[in-house]
Amino acid sequence: MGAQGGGEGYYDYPVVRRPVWTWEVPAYFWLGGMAAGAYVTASLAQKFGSVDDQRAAADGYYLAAAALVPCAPLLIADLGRPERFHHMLRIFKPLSPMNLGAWTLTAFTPVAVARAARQAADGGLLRGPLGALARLVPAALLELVGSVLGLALGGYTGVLLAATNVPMWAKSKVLGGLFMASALSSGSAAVTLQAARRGVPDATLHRLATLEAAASVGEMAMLGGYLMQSGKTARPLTAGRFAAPFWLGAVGAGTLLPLVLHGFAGRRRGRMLRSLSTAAAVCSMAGSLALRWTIFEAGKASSEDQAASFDLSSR
Amino acid sequence: MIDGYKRLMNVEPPPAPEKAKGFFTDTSLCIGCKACEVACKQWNQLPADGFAMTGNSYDNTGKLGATTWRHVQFIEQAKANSNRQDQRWLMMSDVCKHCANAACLEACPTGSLVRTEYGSVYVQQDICNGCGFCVPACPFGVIDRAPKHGEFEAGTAHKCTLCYDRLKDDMTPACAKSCPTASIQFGDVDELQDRARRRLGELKARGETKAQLYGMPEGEEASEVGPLHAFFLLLDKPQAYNLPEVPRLPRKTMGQRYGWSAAVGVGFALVGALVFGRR
Amino acid sequence: MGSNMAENHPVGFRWPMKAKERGATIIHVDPRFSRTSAAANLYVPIRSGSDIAFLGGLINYVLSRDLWFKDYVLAYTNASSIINDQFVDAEDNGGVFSGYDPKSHTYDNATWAYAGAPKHRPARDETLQDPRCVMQILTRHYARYTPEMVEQVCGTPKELFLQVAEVLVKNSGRERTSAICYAVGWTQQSYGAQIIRAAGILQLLLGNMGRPGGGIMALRGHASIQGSTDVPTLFDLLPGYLPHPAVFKGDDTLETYMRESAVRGGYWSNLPKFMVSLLKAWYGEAATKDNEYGYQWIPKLTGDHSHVSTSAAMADGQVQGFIVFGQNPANGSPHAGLQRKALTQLDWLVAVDLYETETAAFWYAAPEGWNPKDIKTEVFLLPTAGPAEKDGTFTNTQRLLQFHDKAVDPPGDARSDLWLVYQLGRRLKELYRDSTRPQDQGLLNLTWDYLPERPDPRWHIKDEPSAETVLKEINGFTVADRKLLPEFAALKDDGSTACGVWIYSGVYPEEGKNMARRRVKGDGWVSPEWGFSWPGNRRMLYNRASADPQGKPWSERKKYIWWDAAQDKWTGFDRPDFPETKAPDTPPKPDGVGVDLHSGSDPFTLKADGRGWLFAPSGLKDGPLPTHYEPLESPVSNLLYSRQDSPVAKRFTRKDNPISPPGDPEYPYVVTTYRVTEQYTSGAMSRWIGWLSELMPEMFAEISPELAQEKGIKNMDWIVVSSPRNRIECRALVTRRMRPFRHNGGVIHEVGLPYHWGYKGLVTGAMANDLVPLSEEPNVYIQEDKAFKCNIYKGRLR
Repeated sequence: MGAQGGGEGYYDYPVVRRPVWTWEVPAYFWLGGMAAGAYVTASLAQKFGSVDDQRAAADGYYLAAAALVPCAPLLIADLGRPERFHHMLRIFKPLSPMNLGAWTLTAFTPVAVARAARQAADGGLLRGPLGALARLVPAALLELVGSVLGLALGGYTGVLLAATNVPMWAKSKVLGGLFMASALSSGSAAVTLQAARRGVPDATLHRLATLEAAASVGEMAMLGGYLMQSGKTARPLTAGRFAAPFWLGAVGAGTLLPLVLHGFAGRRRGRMLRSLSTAAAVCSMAGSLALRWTIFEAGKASSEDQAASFDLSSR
Repeated sequence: MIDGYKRLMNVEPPPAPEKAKGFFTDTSLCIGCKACEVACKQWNQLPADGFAMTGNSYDNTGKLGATTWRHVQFIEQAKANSNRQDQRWLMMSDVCKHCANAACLEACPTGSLVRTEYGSVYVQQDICNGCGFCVPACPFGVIDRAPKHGEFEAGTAHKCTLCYDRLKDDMTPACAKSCPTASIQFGDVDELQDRARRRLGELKARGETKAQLYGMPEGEEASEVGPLHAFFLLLDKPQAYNLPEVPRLPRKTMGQRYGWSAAVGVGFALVGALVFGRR
Repeated sequence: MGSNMAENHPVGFRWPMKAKERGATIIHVDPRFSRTSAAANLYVPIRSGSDIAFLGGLINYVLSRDLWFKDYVLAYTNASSIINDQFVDAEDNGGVFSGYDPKSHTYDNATWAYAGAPKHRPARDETLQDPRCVMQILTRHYARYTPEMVEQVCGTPKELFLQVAEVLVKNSGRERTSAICYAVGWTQQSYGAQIIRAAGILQLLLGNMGRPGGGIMALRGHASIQGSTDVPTLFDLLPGYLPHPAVFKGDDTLETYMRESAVRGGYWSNLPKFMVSLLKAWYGEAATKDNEYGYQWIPKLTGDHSHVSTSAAMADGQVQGFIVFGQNPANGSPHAGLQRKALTQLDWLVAVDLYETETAAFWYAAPEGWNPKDIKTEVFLLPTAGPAEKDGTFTNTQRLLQFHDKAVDPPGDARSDLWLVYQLGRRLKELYRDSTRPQDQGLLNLTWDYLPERPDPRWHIKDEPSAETVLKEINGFTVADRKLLPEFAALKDDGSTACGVWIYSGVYPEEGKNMARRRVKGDGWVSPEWGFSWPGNRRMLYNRASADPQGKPWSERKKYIWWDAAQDKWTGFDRPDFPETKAPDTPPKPDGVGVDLHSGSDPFTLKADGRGWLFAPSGLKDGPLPTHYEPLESPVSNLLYSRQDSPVAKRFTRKDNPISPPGDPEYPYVVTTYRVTEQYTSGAMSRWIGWLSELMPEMFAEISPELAQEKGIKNMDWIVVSSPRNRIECRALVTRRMRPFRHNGGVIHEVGLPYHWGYKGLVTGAMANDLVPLSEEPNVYIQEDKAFKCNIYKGRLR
């Protein structure tokens, strides 16, 4: 054995390769997820909510469009050959989450921008010929199509990571659900934040907060499932250098704190309600970023965990 | 317009399929000369990866990568006692497995990774945009993206091509050609599989109880990624060679993963409808 | 044994691997568990330097259990020959044979001769009972080489040794044969030739010589190193193993030289034909009967001018100029520090190589840190061509010549070695054109016309000599009409034939027929039409021994050459290495010359008596029978004899070449040097190639975990390895492939050092040869670097 390491594998060489992706990817996941969550929240309010709800949530379209603007550049920057970004669209291959995501982003971005333009035109922010053009946009159709695309965008990212052989991404089956929940909680939080800033009626704010809290509950459930299914494989996340940002950021700030704050805000009104809702929303959004970043980076670390790879591929 | 699109995207019709070709790497014949590594690098003009000793037996190149498409492992085994009971020095020339169900190929969003007419998995360098998805998708850690600002084919994914260019000229892949002991055998996959079964029988009869095939259609390791077009005869369990016991094909669980994702999305929509509808 | 074939001859090792697949047993006897051991059926550890004890043990096993091949040994060896009664064996004389002169450290071998008159007709006792017959002497000589003694001396567990003996015996005889492969693991010892002799005795006793699947295979260290001994590059030989004329042998005239050198019995009786034809090839028309065919133009040896001796003389300022072709003494030769110092004593140095070697760069890059201003040596670096950039032949390990064609011009000013030698000769002849000094006449009379009629239009180098023209001269021709000779049997000693290398004659038997170009695969195992094998395209030497004395194959399974009574000639799969129509029952002609003195059942035609020599009555400078000595530098005492080491090995006792005595606590460990597959010799060719350098990038020392623990060393730690000559630093590779050896109750640790690194190239590192002592084996003048001593400690030099 001589210099042979202690494990059952070949010295301490990893079984799989470390992903080559860099910070642009979790940043995109976060922004794209938030855009999706905001758009869906806004559309739900349009469809089912009161006039106040509709007015309050309509800012979600601006948020979605704004969050989407850096997404494509981030993705392109992460490519090894950015000038060939359009090759993503040379085929339609839903089997590849990356291809599906590229098409989804390509489709969702103009939809979100168009819906935001319509909102701007309706609100009088966009005037003249552009405003006239924007008013031609079929709002209801875009809300439906955009919500479906948005849910796809928020939902495919976790599946993309999971559709690899990186132990910490692939071991659990619910990473897609977790990222979806995080997208929706952060997106709805963004809408809540904007609503609180604008001073919407308390009832509306309560409803937004309730939706956001529901997303956080979902996120917490997914997170629990994720950690249980991952077991030892999640150690780079739960015990290593990513433990603090994960527990404090993703879990604490991302799910627990917003729930607590919303709980406090439950019977409050006015300023107090707005402050608490704002705090909860900011926590949720930050937590969402922490979740994406820690799972992304810890996952990269786990790709070097020979034992975790053997566990993932055991009979 | 379709023609214009095809031109822009470099879309070409595939050549007619031929009989599947592959490697049978019989580690019981490997003498660790690394001729395959050098022949591969020379033919494919791959650069050296750096000059640092690892201290891991005679292996100083570590593992497969963007610029190492054949890699020889050195596994030292012996009891610690003074007469070195059960001493073995296993050597194995590792390579891209050219899986029948290739995770890298399925992951590829651009269609750069294709199945060639020889049944091999091939990266079209003019198509790949370096998205990097194939890299973690591969259960064997084979394919890798060359560094973005490196000197060699920067930013695109690389791995063994099964010497596609040589096959086109009816030549044996460089590694198999250079192997002095026929540890690397190249040929029709079905014929190689028959040969491998016979060989395993011989070795078992000789008392090589730990000998096993890896990547055959009947093997459990092929349950997800399918038979490997580059398969192996091993003298120890797969993990000793850093091979996964049952390599995972992401597609197999993708539906379930999307399902959870969709469930959360639908749940959110329902809650939203309820919350806003209850006004 | 003495070979790491899988690592150093990986392409040739395909054949042992194939044999293994067909059921052959591969045994690897070596101090280290190497890649060859990994591929072998059985690995047998042995302490470096104890090979003769091991082989002697096998000989004793075969003799003491009466397992030798009786019919073969009686008929084909000198077992029954009776030795001079003045002979005293080393067994009876503390490890020294009769005839030893302790003053000059040399043997007079007169007492080793056969009893009775001429060498070719010894007195014999076919019953083998005479106490002075070879078989009796041999049995007594090895009686103490028991399995227990082998275990004590070699550190080889007795059971393993016995397993080797059993396998070897079981696989020898009428139906089966065994081969022994060796390389520099044997030859680079102070008694290397004797180790090979021991293997020869064993193979003769087992009937494994001159038979398919048998023999002793010398695995040469480089492509065509066999060619360089055939043609040769050795100081004491002329082409074709003709002895070089020497003052101290009284070779004053061609006649005395030929009388001294030619032996009456055996094929060497033809030496005058070879010598006169050689002189005619060299000096052409200037060589006449009246001027001894130019014999006097050949410089005569005055002493030992081997590489090691020359280096020592050079270090003492006795050499002015040095031309180095494809050699890298500054890190590839023993005691490399002394070699580098020697280079500083030169007036001029010409280094001819593919890259700037350590030798070419010593004046500014040596680890001694010399200031170039202080170096008086003028250094010329001439870039040369690689094999694919020139025509030529390779002669490989089994004497097979294969011609290779130039594929591409060498880059820039690089020229082939042939070009460089030819152009140098041309210019020297021009410079000396008007000289009348006798010592210059040889140069002026040298035939020197190798340019082709028309330069090859494909290449930009227009003044390249033709390698085929040189090969034709090597093959030989009749002087009158320059008609190429069919083979060396056509050579004459009257000046009517010319031949550059008699053993190669037949390689170019007629115009347009270069046999070395042939590539016919044939039946798959003898393949006589693949290339050309000297002598006379015989693939196996002494193959008459593959048939029994009556000319019938020993067995159907092992048939190779046999007597065809219907056609009255020898026939078989190969060309018979025997007079083709000499019937098995032919009696010797007592008054004959050459092979006529032999009977039809004396297969070893080059020997005076036609027999395989269990006992060597002549030819060796260090004894008629292999005897175990310790290396010149050994930690332990010789357990078999009071004589510690070889009585006649040359020691170079000088201040800069200290040797550590046995038991010296300063240097307790055995060290052995070697190569790995990934690099090539001194690294002059391989360390410039990234693809090879990345595979073995750094100098390292292999040590066992036991030694590592004793010295507090962990894998990959930096360590210092010191010998009485020098100290180097390198990484420690701690591995169970190395093991401590038991010796007479104690423990001996070994340190393994590859010698590929130096101070030029893509990867650099310490030089193992810095540690090696200067020494010479007495027969072939090779250094002992496979077993010497060192110490190690954790840390770095500076």
